[in-house]
Formats: sequence, C-alpha cells, structure tokens
Amino acid sequence: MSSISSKRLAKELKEFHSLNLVGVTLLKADDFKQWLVGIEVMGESLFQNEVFALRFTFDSQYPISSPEVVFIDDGVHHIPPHPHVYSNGHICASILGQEWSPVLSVASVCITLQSMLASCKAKERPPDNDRYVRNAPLSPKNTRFHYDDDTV
Amino acid sequence: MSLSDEEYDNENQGLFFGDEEDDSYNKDLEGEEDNLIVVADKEDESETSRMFKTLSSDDLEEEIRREVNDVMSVLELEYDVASILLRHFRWNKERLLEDYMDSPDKVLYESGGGRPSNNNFSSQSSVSEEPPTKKTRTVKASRSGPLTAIRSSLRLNAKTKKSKASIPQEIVGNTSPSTTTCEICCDTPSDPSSMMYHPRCGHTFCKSCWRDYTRGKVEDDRIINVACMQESCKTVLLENELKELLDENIFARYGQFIQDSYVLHDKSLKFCLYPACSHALRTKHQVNQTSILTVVPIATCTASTTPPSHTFCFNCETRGDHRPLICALATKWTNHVNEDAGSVSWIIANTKVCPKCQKPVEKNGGCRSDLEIKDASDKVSRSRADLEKWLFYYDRYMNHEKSIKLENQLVERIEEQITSLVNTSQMSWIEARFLQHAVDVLMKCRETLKVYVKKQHRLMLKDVGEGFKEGRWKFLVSVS
Ligand SMILES: [Zn+2]
Ligand SMILES: [Zn+2]
Ligand SMILES: [Zn+2]
Ligand SMILES: [Zn+2]
Ligand SMILES: [Zn+2]
Repeated sequence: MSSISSKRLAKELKEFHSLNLVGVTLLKADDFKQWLVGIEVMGESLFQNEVFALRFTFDSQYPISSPEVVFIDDGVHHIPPHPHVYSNGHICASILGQEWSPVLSVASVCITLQSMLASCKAKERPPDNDRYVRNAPLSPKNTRFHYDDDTV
Repeated sequence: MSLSDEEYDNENQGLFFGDEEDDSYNKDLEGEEDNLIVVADKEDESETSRMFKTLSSDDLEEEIRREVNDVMSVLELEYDVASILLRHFRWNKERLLEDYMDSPDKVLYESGGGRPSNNNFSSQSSVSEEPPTKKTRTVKASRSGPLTAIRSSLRLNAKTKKSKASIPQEIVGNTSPSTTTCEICCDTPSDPSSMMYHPRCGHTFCKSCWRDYTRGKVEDDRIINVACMQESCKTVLLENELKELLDENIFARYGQFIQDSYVLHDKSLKFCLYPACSHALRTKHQVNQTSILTVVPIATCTASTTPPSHTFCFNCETRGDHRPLICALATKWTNHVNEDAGSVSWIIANTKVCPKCQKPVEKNGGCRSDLEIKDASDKVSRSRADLEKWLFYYDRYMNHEKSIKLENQLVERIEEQITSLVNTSQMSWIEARFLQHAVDVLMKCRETLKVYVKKQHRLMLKDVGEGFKEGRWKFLVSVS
C-alpha cells in the first residue's frame, strides 16, 4: 500500500538529509503519520541556544490537506513564548491554515517557523492566549485563526 | 479598499442563513415587551403575491447570468473572468465596477481573475510600505522535488494581503508546463501530455492531484473561487477548468454553491424554508428595525400547489403564518415552547391533578395539600397558578400543532378518495375537489387558532380585567 502521502513523505525524507538545513533536525520520522522535528534559531535572537520541538501529523490527504503542526512540551523541549504561539503549542501562521499550498513541505514549514522565531521582538504570548487555550480544539487545524496584521 | 481574503473566507464559511438581525430585533424588545401589544394585520392574498416573487433554480441561474453579462460588457472581460470578479466582490456589482475603474490591474490580481500576463501587478506596484526584501529571503534548495517550494515560502509568516502582495513574482515557483514529475505526489506519469494539467497560470501538476485538490475545495470547503495549487499563486480556476477536473455531480453542486452565495448576499432573497424545495423568494418588503414591529413579511412559495403550503416568515424564519403576532413575540413563544418542552413533558408524566384542590402534585408523592397550603408562601401558590395557566395554553397549542400534523395525513387520504370518487362515480374531478377545499379551510382555521392561543397567553400575562380573562378562558375551553 503506497498512498500519495507516504510516497510524498518518503521523498521528503530522502531530500531532507541532502538539504542539510542549519538548525533543523529530524528527531523522529519512523512512519508516515507523525514526525518530530527540532528547530533552533541560528544567529542572534531572543531564542539563542534554545531548541524547540515541532510535531507534524499527516493525514492520508497530505499534501493536498495541510499537516497539523504544533510545538510540544516533552520536558526537554518547551513551547516558545512568542506572540503567535499559544501556550498549548498551537501556532497562528497563515501557511498552516488558509494559505497552505500542496507544494509546501515539512522543510519549508520548518524554515518559515524558524524565521518567525528569529524575528521575535518580545517573549510573550498572544494577547488572547488564555481565552483561546481554554476553548481550543484538539487540533489547531480546526481553529480559524485571524491572521492579524502585526510587526513581528 | 477591496476585500481581504480573510473577509472573503469568512463569507464562504457560512453559506447558509445567518440571522444576526433577528437577534437584534429581539434584544431591542427585551424588557419592553410588557408594554407592547403590537398586532400585525393579515394582508390579503393578492398583497402577499405582490410583495413576493418565487424563483426557481433556473430563474436564479438566469439572473446570475444576466449579472455576469452586465459586468462582462461594461468592463469588456471574458464571461468566466467577470464571474470570478463578481463572486470575489460578493455580487456587489456597484463596488466591483467602482474599484475596477480605479485600478483594473489591482482588482484582477487580487480577485485571481487575471491572466498571467496581467498578474504581474504585484511586482510593479507594491502595496506594502516595506521593501519586499525585508520579509523575503532566498535559500539554496534543490531545484526539483517538493522542496523547490522553499524558495517561495521563506517570507516570514505572511499574514496579510499586504505582505502577500509584496512577493515579487519571480520568487513564486514557476513550474514550466513541460514538467513531467508532479511536485505534489512525486509521480512521473507515463503519458505527461494527457496526465499533467495546468490552468491558465501555467502551474503544472498531475491531473489526479488537481482532481483531489479541487474536489476538496468545492465539496468540503464549499469554496467557489478555487485558487491554483501553487503557493502564492492567486489565479482562480475558471468554470470550464473546474468542469474538466470535477466529477459531473460535484460540478453540479458547485453550480448550486454559486447560487447559494448569490442568495446569501442579497438581503431581499431567501431560500424557501421547506425541505427539498430549491426555490428562492425575493421580497419587496423593506424590513428594518422599526417596520418589523408592525409588518410581518409572510411569504408563500408558489412551488407548492398542494398542502402543506410553503408559507413562512421571511424575517424570523418561522414556518407557517404567525400573524397576528409580530416576529419578536413569535420567536419568543417558539423558544419558550422549545425550552419548556422537556419540563412540560416531565410535569405531564410525573404529576397528576389533585382531585381536591386541582393542583398538580407528584404522582408518587400523594397529596399533602393541607400541609402545603399552610406552609407555602403566597409566592409558591402564585407560581403554581402560573404554571397551571402556562400548561393550559401549552396544551391547547400543542393540540393544534398535533391536529395540523394529522390533517396533513388527512390531505393525503383525501387525494386518494378524490381519485377513487372520480373513478367510481359520475362526479367530475373538479366537483370532487370540494373535499379538498374543506380540508384546506379546516387547516387554515387550525393555524389561526394555534396563533390565537399564543396571543391569548400574551394577553393573559398582562393584567387585563378579570371578566375579560374569564370570558376568554371559557371561549378557549369551548373551541378546543
Ligand atoms: Zn500529482
Ligand atoms: Zn498558478
Ligand atoms: Zn418552497
Ligand atoms: Zn416573523
Ligand atoms: Zn390536593
């Protein structure tokens, strides 16, 4: 059985190693359902020397449908305090929602989130963090984030 | 200013009725209602048909086609492009024409209606105040495979239409039409000329990916302006492009969704509330906060020629004719009935009326009336009396409602009877219709009585003279 998603992920996996992205490491990728990726912001930033873990969950419709991407807190890694990252790990980024395109990949998502962290100016939670976290759906894919204009 | 994607998507999300306005009418009435007995008069039938027009699905399609043709000839665009623009502007023709006159390239680019040749609007005039380089970096990535997309995704968390518009066209992936491997599923079809597909922007992927993608967008997300799969490509697929990619039945639903969006964005249009009826009604009533206190826009869809008639309130979307009650009171009653349905059935199931004092008592509890009456404060006995009254009206109302349901069944039986009557006797079909007419009259009476009960309940709550109350009470007991 080789669905589109596993075929595509197999290819991404192969290419991931040849890409050698700085600060992006595959922590776990032993199936085509869930991957863990460590990301670290290189150069000068508020998150210097901190490594965060992203969990990618793919459904069988990937990459037509977007992956579910969240920061996780597993004791070793923590959820970065960032105006677009809720304390439950959900991320408000348009490319994970309505701007997802099937030509994007795990690597391109990681790079985008890496630069999102890099340009952070204040280590703080989104203003509506408490309200959101209280009522948040299990998967951020079920949230319709309002991608507001801001200077982060 | 034109519509942002955000607004547009929110629009798309709920294709079906929203009734925020009704809420506001109701809110305005809260607390004030006790001083309010507004009775809306019944219009006669000719008035109703003058104020409403029933449109079939074909009529709607025709109307939409006329609108698109208008735009097409004024702006000298192709039909499909004019249609994309109108949908993007949520059928607001005036605003579309105005914006287009101001800046045609911008409108074509932002709505996704443009041809690739005029899609370079973004690079020539950036809407963003910041230079694009600030949010965009390029990285060396392998040229083939899914990772090519990294080139275009590097802009930081593009959040607004501002930053979207600031991406220079060159970075956006430019897959040449000769590509033989699909970047999405990584398949290399044996016959690229028939297996690969690209819409007019030239972004080529395999047909099976295009099919999966468009089906999801249309069927699951109900999006009527489906954009290209390529990241940051705003090009919206033309109707004939979708027709090539979608299964026939899904493409038919796509047409339905376009009609839904058209009806949703026209305040004077509404779909008939009756299930399985695809007709829409257009009203001439100018419903606003003040007029709705005196006018009840009861509509009857002419698609149904036999009972039950498709009659409903165009404003509060209550089925049937709730006149003489105005909408605010009618919805209040409905909510009341729905909320209380549970507790009322509990009362009916678990209490009985005490033969001595006529009050409901718990079935297993036995009567402790003597005790209670001594102990109970005035408040308790008053609320009991209220409950009793409420139960009285609730009962009458529900009985009428039930009878209406039964009479609907009667109508069906009458149909059969008429047919057999015509077949077995000398009576003509037209003469035999008297049976049906009789039932129609009966049903109308029921409907009126049902509403009358509601009205009585309202009047009862106001302290009208005792004698009057008694009279009504007796009247009600005798009719029901
Ligand atoms: Zn493909
Ligand atoms: Zn495209
Ligand atoms: Zn109807
Ligand atoms: Zn109404
Ligand atoms: Zn008793």
